[in-house]
This record gives sequence, structure tokens and C-alpha cells, in this order.
Amino acid sequence: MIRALLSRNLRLHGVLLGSIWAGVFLFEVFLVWVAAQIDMGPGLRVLLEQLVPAEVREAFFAQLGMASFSGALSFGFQHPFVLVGVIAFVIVVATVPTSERESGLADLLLARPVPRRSYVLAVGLLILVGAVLFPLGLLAGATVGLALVEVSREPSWTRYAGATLSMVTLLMAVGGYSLFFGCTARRRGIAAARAAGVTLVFYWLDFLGDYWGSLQSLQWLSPFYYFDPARAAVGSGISARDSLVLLAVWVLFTVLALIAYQRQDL
Amino acid sequence: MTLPAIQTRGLTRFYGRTVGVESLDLDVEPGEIFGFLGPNGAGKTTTMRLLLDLIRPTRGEARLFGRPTHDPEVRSRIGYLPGELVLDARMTGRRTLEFLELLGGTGASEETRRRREELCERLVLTSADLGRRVRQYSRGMKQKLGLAAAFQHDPELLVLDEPTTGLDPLMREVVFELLADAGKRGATVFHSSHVLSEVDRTCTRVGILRDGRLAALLRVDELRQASARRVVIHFSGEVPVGELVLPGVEVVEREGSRVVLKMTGDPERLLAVLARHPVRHLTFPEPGLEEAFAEYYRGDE
Repeated sequence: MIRALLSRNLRLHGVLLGSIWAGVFLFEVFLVWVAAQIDMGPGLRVLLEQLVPAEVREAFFAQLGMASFSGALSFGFQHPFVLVGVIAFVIVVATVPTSERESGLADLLLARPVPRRSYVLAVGLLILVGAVLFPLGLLAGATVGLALVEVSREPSWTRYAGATLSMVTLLMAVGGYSLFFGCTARRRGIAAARAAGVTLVFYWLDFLGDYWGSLQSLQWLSPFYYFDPARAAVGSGISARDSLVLLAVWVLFTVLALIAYQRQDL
Repeated sequence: MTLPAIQTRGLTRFYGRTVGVESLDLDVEPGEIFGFLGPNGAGKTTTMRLLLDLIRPTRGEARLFGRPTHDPEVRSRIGYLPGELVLDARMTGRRTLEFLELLGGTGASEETRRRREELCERLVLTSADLGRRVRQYSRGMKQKLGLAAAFQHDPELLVLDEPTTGLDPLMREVVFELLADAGKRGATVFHSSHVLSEVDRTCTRVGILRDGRLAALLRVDELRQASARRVVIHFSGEVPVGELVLPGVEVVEREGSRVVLKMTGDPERLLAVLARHPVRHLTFPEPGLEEAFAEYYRGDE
């Protein structure tokens, strides 16, 4: 039954999924090409040190990790365009339960012998598909890009596996709380606004917390605090603690979404 | 002992302070075709949604075939047509039917496919229609697809919220036939309607809801007896007013050679009077449900 629901969800969101996947893949290929063109080596680091104030470098380039060829490629994993695209997909899918309840379609589906948890889990699985496929799209883009361009010190694609995993866990966490909003709101617009608003607040909380002392103590509340693809890309690996925190957020909110949807009226 | 197909005890649902349905005690036996009547907002749809566990009761309980309504096993035995039918506009008609069948958990079988084809043929849903996306369907086409979805898995209980809405008279006939066939094969039908003649044709028993409460539970012939029929007569000559003073007959309007009567019970005496006078035109307009209710309540008082 979950399979039938998932395959329907995939069919209905396949074009969006495919388009965003292709977009992030091409973006990463493009990023590799750009990085190769401007020869992201020590030359750029020197240039950045001369042109960009230290505090900005620190805030934006994560201890200059990004000012290397490897670091620049990890930029694709946290570029605002990429994040907006993939998180938009997550929110669109996560608010399907509200949308179908609002339209009345849920009446027809859930009058069949479909346990509500299966219905919600099928939505959760599609979020998971997106959360895995998009970072893999970036990884594939990095791999293909590296194969196409010539660089003096070509980093291995495996270096980006950590960044990929980091992004997967971030999207799962965002998907978890978005699904919760998608299962509790009465209208899709409200659910989407809540999910997008909370994500935006988390993003800025983490971003501004880097150089605003009073916000620093709250950074831990943001899922973006535990998302550091640049660190993984420069060879420092990913933090198991960060991944576990994001996975815990995903599990917690998915369970809350299941409970909420189980209990409420359609 | 056979368990009722539908059983409710003290079933109550409030929406804030508004009553959806209150203290509903109802038993619908297996094989029965039960009509659920009431004006808009009386609580028909609320009751149906409670039966399907789409909403939860404030008090009381509902059971289907002796089991709780949330039991997936029991819901696999139900065919449901919502009053405000919404289908996924992006799917084709065929895919919609196949998908809803898959959600039954039984998997696609040759028998189901054959039954689906037969249903679609009866409902005049051609292969070309089924190949089109639902967004291209008219209101009536969607209703036919919803009916096919409700009937396709040969359910033991059909819960149909105003099944003939949006259908033309010919297609209504098909729906009546489908209901009759379902009854013949032993299925229970629980359907709501605004149209008294539909209930008259299809049901064995009716429940009348008013303001969320079950105002009456009676056989269809009892309802027929209780409800007044209007008779509009155009005489060729003078209206024989004196002769129209008969038991169960009331003159409600008179204009020239035209007279409107309200009649309850047996029409034999009235017909005998009419046989003695030249009648140019005679019609029996369908009494509105409200009128039938009013008559019923008046009789009840």
C-alpha cells in the first residue's frame, strides 16, 4: 500500500524532482568549470586575503576552507540557489497531506483501507527520496565536472561524499519538521509558510550567529548549525554528532507528524 | 446472530458549538438499502464521514459489521462516494480507478478488471474517456468515475453521499439499477439524498435527519403515506369545489379553472371525482423534501 502511494507521489512530483535534480547537477558541473577557469589555487587565497576583510572571510568562507579548489566545489552544497530549490521541493512534498485534506481528495483516499500512518509515511518517503537524490545530484555534478575539466591538483570525488551526507541529513531534518507542519495545518498555504518561515529563521540564525555574539548562544537551535559541507570537502570529514542531531530532528518530527495526523479530523 | 452492517450508539459530533450530528442511534441491517434524508446541514455528510473514520466523534461510537470504523479490514469492505467528490486532476480516469483499487490492498485481479470494464460500460465511460486526465472531465463525468470507484471492488457496504448529483436523468436510471443490483447480491447501501423520488425508488427504509438529530426512522411506504402530494388540476369547465372536499384532500390554491390540492393517503376517492368531470390537464409535482418533512412532522404532532 505504501508502495502504491509512494509510486503515485513519485509520478505526481516526478517532473519537479527531475527538474531540480538536473538543475543542481548542472549547477555543480558549472561550478567545477568556473573553479577550474579561475584556477582556484593558492592564487585565489592570496587574492581573497587582500581583497576581503578577515571577519567577512571568516563568516563566509569557513576559515578559508572554501578558498581552495576543493572548498569552492563544496560551495554548490550550500549555495542559496541550491538550498532554496531543494528545500522548496521538500516543503512542496511535505505539505501534500494538508493540500489533499484541504481539497477533499484525502477523503477518497483514506476511506479506502489505508492506515493514516501509511499515507503520511509515503509522503515522508518521497521527502527522503529528494533528500538523498539532490545531494547525490551535486555529487554526480562534481564527479562529472572533475572528469571534464583539467585542474592541476584534482581532488577525488570521494571528498564530496561527506558533503553529500551532510546535506542529506540537513534535508531530512527540514523534511521532518515540514512534514509536521504539513500534517497539522488546515491549509497548505499556512503549512508551507510555517515551514519556509522556520527554515528561513534557522538559516539566518546560523548565519548571523557566526559573527553576532548574542545570537551565537542560540545557533545550536538551527539545523544549519550542524550542516558543514565545506569542512567535509576540505578533508576534515563530517561530524558524527552533527549527523546524529539532524537525524534525531527528522525522527522526532516525523513521529510527531504521524501522531498528529492519526488523531485529527480530515 | 448477524451483526448490523452499520450501528451507531449516541453518535455525536460538534463543530465548536455547532451540532453536526447528535445522539444518533441507528442500525442498518446487512442487505438493506437505507436512505438518509435531510435538508442541507442536517448532518448527513457528517454521519457518513464519521462512519468512515474521516472525522472522530465527540461522543458515542459507530461500528461497521461489528468492528470499529478505523479498522482497515472493515474499510476494505466499503465503497464510498463523497458528496463533494474530489479526484486527482492530474491522473487519467483509468489510472484513478486502478490506483483506488490498489489502495484496497487486494491487488489487481482479472475479476476486478472485468468488473471495472462492465461498470464503466454501464456508466458510459468509454476507453477514450478513461484515457483522459480527470482535469478534462465534466462534473457528471467525475461523478460517474467516482461511482465506478465506489462499486468496482464489489463492496459489502456502499456509503454514497448524494450519488446522483450532477448526473442526467438517463444516468440516474443507471445508478438506480446499480443500487438495485447491489441490493440483490446482498450488499448494504447507505445513501443520502435530497430527492424524495430517488429514495422512494431505491430504499427499503429511511432515516430523516433534522438539525443533527434523527427525526424519524421509517419504512419508505410509511414516509409515502405521511408525505402530502400536490395535485395540480386544470378543469375544462367549472371547478367542482364542493366535491373536492374529501378526507385527506385540501384545496391550497384556486385560480380560474385551475386548482392545486394537497393530498395524503389513498388517491382513489379523488380519482373517482375527477372521472366525473372533464379534466384538461393533471400533474403530480414531486413534493419537496421540506414539504414532506413538514407534512410528516405535522402528522407526528
